[in-house]
Amino acid sequence: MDVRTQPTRDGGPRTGRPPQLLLWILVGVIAVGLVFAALLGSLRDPDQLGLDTPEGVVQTYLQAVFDGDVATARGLLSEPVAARCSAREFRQAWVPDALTASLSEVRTQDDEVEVEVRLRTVEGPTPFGGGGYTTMEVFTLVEDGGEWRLSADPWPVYDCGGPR
Amino acid sequence: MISLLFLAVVIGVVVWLVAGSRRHGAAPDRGVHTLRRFVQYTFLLAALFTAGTGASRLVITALPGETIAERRVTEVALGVALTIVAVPVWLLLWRQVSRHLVVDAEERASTGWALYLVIATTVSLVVAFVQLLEIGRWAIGAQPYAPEPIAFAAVFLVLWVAHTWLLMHPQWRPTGRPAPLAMLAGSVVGLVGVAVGGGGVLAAGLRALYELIAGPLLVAAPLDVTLGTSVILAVLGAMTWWWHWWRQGLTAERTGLWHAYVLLIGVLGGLLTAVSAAGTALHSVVQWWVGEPWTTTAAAHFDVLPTAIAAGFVGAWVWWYHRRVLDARPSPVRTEPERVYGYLVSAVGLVAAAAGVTVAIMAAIQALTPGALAVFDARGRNTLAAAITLLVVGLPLWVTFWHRLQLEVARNGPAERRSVTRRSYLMLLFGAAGLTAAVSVGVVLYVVIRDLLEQQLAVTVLHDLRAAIGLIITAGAIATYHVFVYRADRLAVPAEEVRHPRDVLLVSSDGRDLASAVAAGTGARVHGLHRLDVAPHAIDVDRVTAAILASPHERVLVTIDEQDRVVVIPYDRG
Repeated sequence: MDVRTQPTRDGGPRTGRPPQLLLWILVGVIAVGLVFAALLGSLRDPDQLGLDTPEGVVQTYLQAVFDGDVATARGLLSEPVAARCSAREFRQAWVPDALTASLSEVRTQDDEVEVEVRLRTVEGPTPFGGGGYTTMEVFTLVEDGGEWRLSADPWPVYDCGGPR
Repeated sequence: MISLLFLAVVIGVVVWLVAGSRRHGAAPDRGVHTLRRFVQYTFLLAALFTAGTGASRLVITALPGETIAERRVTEVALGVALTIVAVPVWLLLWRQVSRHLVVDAEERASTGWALYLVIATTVSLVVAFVQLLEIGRWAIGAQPYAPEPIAFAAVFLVLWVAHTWLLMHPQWRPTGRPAPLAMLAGSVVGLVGVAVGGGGVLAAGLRALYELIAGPLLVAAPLDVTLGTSVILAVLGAMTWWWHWWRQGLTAERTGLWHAYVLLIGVLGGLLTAVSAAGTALHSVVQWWVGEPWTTTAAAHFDVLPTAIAAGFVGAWVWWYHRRVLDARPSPVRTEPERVYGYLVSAVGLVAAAAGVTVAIMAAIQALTPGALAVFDARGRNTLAAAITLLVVGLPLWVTFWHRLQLEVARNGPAERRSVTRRSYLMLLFGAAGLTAAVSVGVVLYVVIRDLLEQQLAVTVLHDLRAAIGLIITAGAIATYHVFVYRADRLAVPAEEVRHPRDVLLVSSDGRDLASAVAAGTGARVHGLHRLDVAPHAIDVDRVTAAILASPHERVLVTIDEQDRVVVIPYDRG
């Protein structure tokens, strides 16, 4: 019979309970996570960018799409795009319940500006908050009468009016 | 069709139970008791959950809710019907069961009674837990109001409290072997709640930090729903875990089931979570440097890190905690669950490392084959990144655990080598790896012979066969190594080893001293009884030992008379 003969590590009587410090470590780390999330969550109100910049237009457009404010969103499209992308297409497009958008890059090509945005969905109680996913979206803008407007079918409607 | 299948399953279980009890040489009426218990407790459970569902439906109708009139009628009708049928059935069955429990001590020790309470408490706990989480999510505004969660949570909480009371009351407490399962199943529910909820809180904090660092925010999604749900889950999990594990499990008797829970759920579950999380984080780093990431934006590519770090921390904590639970009061003998844990982790590490080596061989062949695509394409580079990750994660895991297992063999040779777990591990690895290698050899031969006959054999065939060649080398090496280990085990402990008695009742004129000498000689547990009708005299210990070792039975009664005649009588506990 493979009976173990090693003495207990501390030589003292065994209580059968692991040190309570272990529990406090877990509670402490989760509490720090909670404080972080609460503090940073309240601190991370994005700065409102002006509509005189391409990224400011994209920010306002995204906010309008998230809020379901189709009129504002369509108001930021260039005329040909607005003609193609009807309010109905916006209402039918699927937009996740909660999204976070971060500015990735702003590129200028001739008279066009491309604004690359990282979109991340926030999902429910999936293990370790891992249910969300990330996509990269590029918004193309042109200056039209001194104002920046989205010049290609943008997320989330993409291919307005079907294949052309 | 389903009802016929259910009937067939029920009949099958009944036949198996009755046959099982006969096989074990039980009294004829024991089979009848087993059958009676099976039927009684199955119906008791069915009646309990039907009554619970019916009562919940009735409670729904009493709660405010924006349901249309027709649905209310359905709820009332269904609730009344289920309750009216199930409650009297349950009460009737309970009357019979409780009478048995009061008069027959064996009833409390029966598997049926223990399993009834285990299933009743576990199912009602899970239902109440899920519904309480739904109520919590409604309270923080994550979902609209519905009366169902309140009704089901209330009714199933009552069922859980009532059955937990039965589980702990001295008069009703089950003493059958499966009884601790209730406590352990509750501990699993609580642990998963704490781990997933606590990990979710941590992940939300890390993600908020990551998003601040990763780039300027344009639009921020509110955190309250994700964070709130995780907090509720963690709190519910902590309460469940405190009750089942902290108050009961930690100080409970350390049976095989207890060890199975701590090792296979706590230690193994925690380790695999931590290793998977570390692997995910490592893969994102390796892919960024070696592979071809899906995006060139680092902020998007490393997006998995907050989740991986949170899961890694929680997994490591769960592993560490349960290891310390075992260390706090180590088992005097190496338990089978401990072996299962060691060999499972070793197998996971080996398979991961083997996959890494196979892909690395494939990559080397691809790079070295003249005429083949010398430069890796994006897919090839990503495969290489995966191979490196698998190797870095799997190899240390396998080396550490396999080394420990071999040390255990050196320390407790026969017991370890004879264990079912080790033998299954070696056989399965040898079988699976050997088969893989054999099939790969077949594929290589087929392609080479085909190309030879078609006079098209070229060096580039190496490139086409790189997967098969990689598998032959890796699986072949694994099969060969494990067959050698298996043979070494068999040589050390012959399979045809003669079975010797393990329990000896020794009746002699020289009770105690002879007993210890025989115990040393046979390795059996020897209980010496002093014989009063024979005068003390010198007894040949070797002769007694040889007579005992010659018996193939597990338990023997040995008597030695004045002529030194040794009689070995095999026996069994009735």
